[in-house]
Amino acid sequence: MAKKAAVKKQKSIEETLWDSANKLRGTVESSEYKHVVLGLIFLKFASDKFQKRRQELIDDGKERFLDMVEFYAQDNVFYLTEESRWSYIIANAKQDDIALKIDTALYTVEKNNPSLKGALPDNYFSRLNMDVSKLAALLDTINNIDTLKDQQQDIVGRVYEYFLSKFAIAEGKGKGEFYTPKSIVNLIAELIEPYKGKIYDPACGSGGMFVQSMKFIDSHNGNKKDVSIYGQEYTATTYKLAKMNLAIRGIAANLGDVPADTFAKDQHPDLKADYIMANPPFNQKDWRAADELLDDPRWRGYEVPQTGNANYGWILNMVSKLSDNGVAGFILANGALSGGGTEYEIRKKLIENKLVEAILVLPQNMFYTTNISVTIWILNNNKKERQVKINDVEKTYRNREDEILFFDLRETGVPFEKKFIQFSTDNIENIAETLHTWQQDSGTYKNIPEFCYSATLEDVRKKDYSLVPSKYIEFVNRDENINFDDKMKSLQTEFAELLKEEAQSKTELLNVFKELGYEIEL
Amino acid sequence: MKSNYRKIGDFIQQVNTKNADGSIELLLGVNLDKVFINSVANTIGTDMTKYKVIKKGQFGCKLMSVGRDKKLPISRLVDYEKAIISSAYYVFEVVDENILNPEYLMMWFLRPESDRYLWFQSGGDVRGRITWDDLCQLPIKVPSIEKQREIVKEYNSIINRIKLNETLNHKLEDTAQALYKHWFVDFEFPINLCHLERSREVSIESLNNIDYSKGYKSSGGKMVYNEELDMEIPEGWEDTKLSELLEVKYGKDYKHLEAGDIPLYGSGGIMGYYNKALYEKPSILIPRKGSLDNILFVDEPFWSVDTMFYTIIKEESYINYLFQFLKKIDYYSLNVGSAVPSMTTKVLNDISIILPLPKILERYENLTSKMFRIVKQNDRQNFILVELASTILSKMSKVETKTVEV
Repeated sequence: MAKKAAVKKQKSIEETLWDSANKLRGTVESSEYKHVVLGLIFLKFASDKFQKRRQELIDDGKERFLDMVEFYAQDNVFYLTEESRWSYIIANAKQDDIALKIDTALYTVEKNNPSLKGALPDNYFSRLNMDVSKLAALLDTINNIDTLKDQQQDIVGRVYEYFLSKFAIAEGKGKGEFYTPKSIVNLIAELIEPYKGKIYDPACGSGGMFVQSMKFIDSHNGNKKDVSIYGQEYTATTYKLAKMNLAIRGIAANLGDVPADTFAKDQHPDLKADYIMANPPFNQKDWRAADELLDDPRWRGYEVPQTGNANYGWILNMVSKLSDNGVAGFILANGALSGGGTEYEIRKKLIENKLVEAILVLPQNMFYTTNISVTIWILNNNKKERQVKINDVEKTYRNREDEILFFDLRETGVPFEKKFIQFSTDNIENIAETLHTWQQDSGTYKNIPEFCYSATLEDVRKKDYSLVPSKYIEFVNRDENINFDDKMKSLQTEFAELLKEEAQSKTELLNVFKELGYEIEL
Repeated sequence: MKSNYRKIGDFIQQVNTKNADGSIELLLGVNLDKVFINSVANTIGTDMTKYKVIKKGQFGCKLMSVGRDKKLPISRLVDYEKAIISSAYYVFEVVDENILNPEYLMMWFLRPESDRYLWFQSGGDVRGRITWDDLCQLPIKVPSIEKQREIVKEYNSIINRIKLNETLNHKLEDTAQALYKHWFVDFEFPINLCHLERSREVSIESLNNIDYSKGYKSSGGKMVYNEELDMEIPEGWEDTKLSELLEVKYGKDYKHLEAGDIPLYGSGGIMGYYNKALYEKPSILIPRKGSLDNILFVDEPFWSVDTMFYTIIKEESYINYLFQFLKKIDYYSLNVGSAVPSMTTKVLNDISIILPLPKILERYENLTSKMFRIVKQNDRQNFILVELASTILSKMSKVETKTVEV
């Protein structure tokens, strides 16, 4: 009998690429390998765009401008000299000094394009000592990405994002902190709606928040030119990732001159941002020495955050950078909801200053790096009644200065990559709509047991300024809604049948014992 | 606000006694089924005087992973006078047993809604812990002490019946096993069965010498040496390979299945319920990896995972005999794996098996299938009884109580 060939699931481009690229990893650490792969994808993409622009210039009969940087820069295209073009790299892929050639290519691209300053890996490939044949095979794999195939699809962005998330999963616990799971970033964007103005992320990692904000604007037909982007990142390699990640998508951003610690070396001291999105490191210890940053202007009006945990340092850093109508959506470990000491004092003031708009507890296992429970905080500098036109839609916000909206999302979400949870599009839409309805129309908004509750400041004072959602959200005892009578009636029928059968089989069993010569007397 | 719920904190108190003189050695823990188990923790070099003492009638519970497990591990000590328990546990007792019956309280903790309530409270903690105060906030309905005792009695009679059925089933399985050993290992099957045998030749001479009051072998039934099996077997019996009686098949990956009500078996037993069956007829399942001796008999449609063989029984009328035979094999001596014990179809197919005279087998199948029918009935009964027990638990929320001012 002929066996039917198993029908294989069609793999996406991202998956195919990941599989083949990952096969070539050899002895390179996963955390190192991402810089190799992502650096090369960047080069391929930059080169494809360059070639396309170059061809356009030729087609328009502008051959004499072919080597003028301005003619590329005006279209967000990087000008590439001969030795930094992908075609040159591929032509030399089998050479022993290919690593050096890649380094030179990256160096030259960066040197010729000021916006890429500090973005690209520096002498990375030569130092790595990767097996030449593996490197050649990897170049071949990346050569197959048709970056220009479908402009609408953002192939490179997709590949880039897929690789970032796969690397984050591969690196797992304790690492992979450069990446915030996409569905959480999506949710924050949908909650705070960053359509216009300055967007800031004080711990921007690989820049995922910015990418998602841009996608948000795109998908709601906004204008990406209406926003400007500010970020800061401490880890040098992650800072480069962010720069590449943004450059590859043509997003202009000010990430500060250098990778630096947001607390010790604030890159945007005078910034007033309209939207802040962040996923700062969780429960960072020793973020400042006991005698450091004591009179930092960012804490003005509040206690100085304790040295043992940076959570409230991050909160106050963001609060100090909010514009008059600014909104912040960020992620923190749950501990910040009810921490004592200075955390309590700061939280109390934030609440009394009417900044806290919403608190959303997320499910466990959303992050690749840790399984602790985390919370999204939404802070809003202006919870007063006001009318705004957002993306051509009139919104009438009601005054909610004396209210905080709590969500418990622990039971929301769908499985992802076996052991993780993510929010579906429907989940995100439902949560965002609940918040927006509450902000605008208290008549339509309804508290939903075990999901959301609109608490008054008075409620929160009574709970001594705890922001733990389950202290406010109603719990429903499901047993109270069970129809006991129906349940018992069906059990009664089933049991009657069973007992009849039992009587019969009991006689049989007695016969068995009798037959074996061991009669049972009852 | 008026409510007829009270808080359990009003009725209980913590007991914090340390095993100071190290006199108690029995170390217990509580699992998620809310049962005390002997602790598996490595205690070599541990100072046992730091452990807490729990006495008969007291409760032990652990609050640190309610958020993760969605359950509170809690139980009330009944089987021992005294034991010790890690200091990660809280030990408590009922203040006045004439106001709150401890068994009634334990029933309250068995309700899935109590677990869900406590899980709900764990939301603010980074690791999903709850505090003692959270536990004390658990709402409870406390009717009159007489009513409580009545409810406990109802519940216990159901639980006792479940236990009785379980014991009955163990005894029936023991009986089938004992009969197998008596007939097919010791060859003491009833001698008169030989007369019924017509299909094979049994010498008249051997029948003449038989003492009919005993089993075959001890009454002098004729034994012949079998080379393949390297042992004496009753005259007329044969040997064969397992592959002649059943076909060993690989289980299959189940990841593409959706939830349903068909059991999925792994080498550890039922792993879940899905929407498709791999095989529908009665079958014997043999682990391919892991706990090799966990042989299972299944007589309803099922799916088995790729680490669990299933079998197509060629001689269906031999199934109980085959099941007992397969259960007696020492699989670990046949193990072909290194780190993980493993089994192959070749090893299984090559196993030699005694083939008794058909009439004797037929009689064995006839007797044992009656026993297994009862086992199955008891299982079904228990399934309903468990549901009945959980209905009684959920009904506790609806019990009539006095309304109090809170």
